[in-house]
Amino acid sequence: MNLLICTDGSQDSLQAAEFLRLLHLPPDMAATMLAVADSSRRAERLQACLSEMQQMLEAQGFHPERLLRRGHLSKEILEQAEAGHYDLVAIGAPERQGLMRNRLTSTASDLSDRLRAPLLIARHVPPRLGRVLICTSAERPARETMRRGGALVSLLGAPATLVHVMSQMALDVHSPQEDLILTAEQAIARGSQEGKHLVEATRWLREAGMAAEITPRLRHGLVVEEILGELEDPEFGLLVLGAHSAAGRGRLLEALLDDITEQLIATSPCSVLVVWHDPQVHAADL
Amino acid sequence: MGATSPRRAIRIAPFAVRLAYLLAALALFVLSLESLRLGARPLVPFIREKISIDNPVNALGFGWLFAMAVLSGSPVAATAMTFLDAGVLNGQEAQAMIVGSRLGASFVVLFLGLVYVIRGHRSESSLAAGVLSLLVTQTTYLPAAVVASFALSRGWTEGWGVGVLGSASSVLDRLLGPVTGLLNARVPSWGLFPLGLILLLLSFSVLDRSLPDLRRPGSRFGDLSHLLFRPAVTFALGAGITLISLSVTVSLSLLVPLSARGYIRKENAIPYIMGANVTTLVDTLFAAALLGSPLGISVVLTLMVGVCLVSLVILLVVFRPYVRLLVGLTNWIAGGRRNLVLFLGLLAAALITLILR
Repeated sequence: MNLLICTDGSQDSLQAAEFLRLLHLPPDMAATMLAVADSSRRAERLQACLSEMQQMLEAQGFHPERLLRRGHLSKEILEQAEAGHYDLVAIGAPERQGLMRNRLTSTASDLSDRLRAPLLIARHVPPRLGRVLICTSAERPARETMRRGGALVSLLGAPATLVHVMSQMALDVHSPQEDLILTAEQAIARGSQEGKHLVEATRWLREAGMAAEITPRLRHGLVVEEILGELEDPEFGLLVLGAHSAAGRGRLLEALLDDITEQLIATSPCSVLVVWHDPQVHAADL
Repeated sequence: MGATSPRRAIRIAPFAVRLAYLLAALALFVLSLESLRLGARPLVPFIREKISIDNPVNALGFGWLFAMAVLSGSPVAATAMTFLDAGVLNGQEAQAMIVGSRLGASFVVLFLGLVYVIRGHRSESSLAAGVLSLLVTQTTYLPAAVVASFALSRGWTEGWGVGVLGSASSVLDRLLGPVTGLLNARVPSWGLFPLGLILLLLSFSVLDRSLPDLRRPGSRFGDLSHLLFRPAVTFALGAGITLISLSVTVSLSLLVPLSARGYIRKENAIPYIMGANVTTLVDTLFAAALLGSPLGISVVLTLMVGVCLVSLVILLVVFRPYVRLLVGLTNWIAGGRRNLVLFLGLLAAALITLILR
């Protein structure tokens, strides 16, 4: 496994190194610290941050390589990520914001759509990770999210809640209502479309190496609001999502679809792991 | 060659039938407008004095009640144009009547759904789409009516109708000169308005039959039921589909067979209804143009722009809180029969207040 940990010199960016403490990674793992300054004024602060990050990683047993670049943060990260073939790219982010977005949060949103490696946006890292929330869209790319996300989440050893949100409503009085009120247990027992998917997604997570408890959950309401509602439980320390881009969709459809991942990156109270769907892997699976 | 000709004829036949329906609907529409226009003039004392429709507030209530009586909004909005043309209503009152017609049309859908629920066929939650449609219409049309009425009163949009019509004289006059004479000669003046109304309802019914079949499975629109689209996309989609169907209800119902389970995402439904609410006024605009009424065109265009502006402000500035509010209200209203009856009761009380004011 090969890690890339990124910083812009801010204290928030140190959260990325802090989160790695929760992943039970072997100490001989390759790790690269990438520091990016957009001006010479920041260079001194960047060096200090880099040193602090190095100390944190060395305390965890890593011997990270240091890279210092000048330029645009997300562009430099993308270039390094493509050159280094990393298994995980980590970036820190401040507490969730309202309308005004921090540079790190904007960078994270930008990266989430373009980065091929899983992206960890570390925020508000707890001393102990109680639970992971894994979201499934129940669309075809969900398989890839479960497989790649599950492999990383298995390193945490924490129990997980697998959630799917139904925001649908009946278009008219003749539309069937039953599926719109089912709990996960009822949906699984009845074998509804969502129930079948939750069973299948749990199996994909197990195949990816997750040994801890997985609790399927079906929520009804607006997608972003329901996920944030679930995250109100302080036990949750990580949210796992699929990236906005997905294999098999045309560019036009991508542009027309709402970017739920971006909204959740900006508003999640805890760290977020975004898993990009690799079209080649996806095609091979199909 | 000989074998392909009958097949080609079979392919062309449905289009020919639809075209025939469309032409028939247009002819009936034009005829009905003329009949309504001629019949509206003698109604001035009745509407102004007997039922006291003499301000925008009770014109709104009148439009609402009228739409409930004829179970549709578009014929009432077209009638408002003939009232404006005949001098029965002024611009602001006609605009308020159009707003009332939209509120009434949404109310009718919900009321008919309630009857269906009371008969025991379905639960109250099956009315969620109807409740949401009514709430979206109320929360966009009422602020839009205030904006549009203000713009009209200041004369900001006076020139819009003249610009659209140019120097052309009434299309209706040119098309139906002989028919006007016939109607005046053969139909008593008291019968012209009811005749016009019947013809208008008939024209919308025939128009429905001329619509292209959007219900084929496998259409791209099917994705609306499970994918989450950007609000601006579903707004444009709602506006586009309603531009063809001319009815918000028909436009929404067109989505039913396109989704595997007859569902739509709430996030998608709200901007879709908003878009539909803008272009559903196109037939009213057409009626104003046929009547050769620059003021009528200004009235409808001002309202359309008002609804569009209010919708865009919601979409761009407060969309997520707005969606949360409307979905919360919808869940409460459709959450039980008592809530639903209470909501409809409040609306009925509002309607009575509007008419009596």
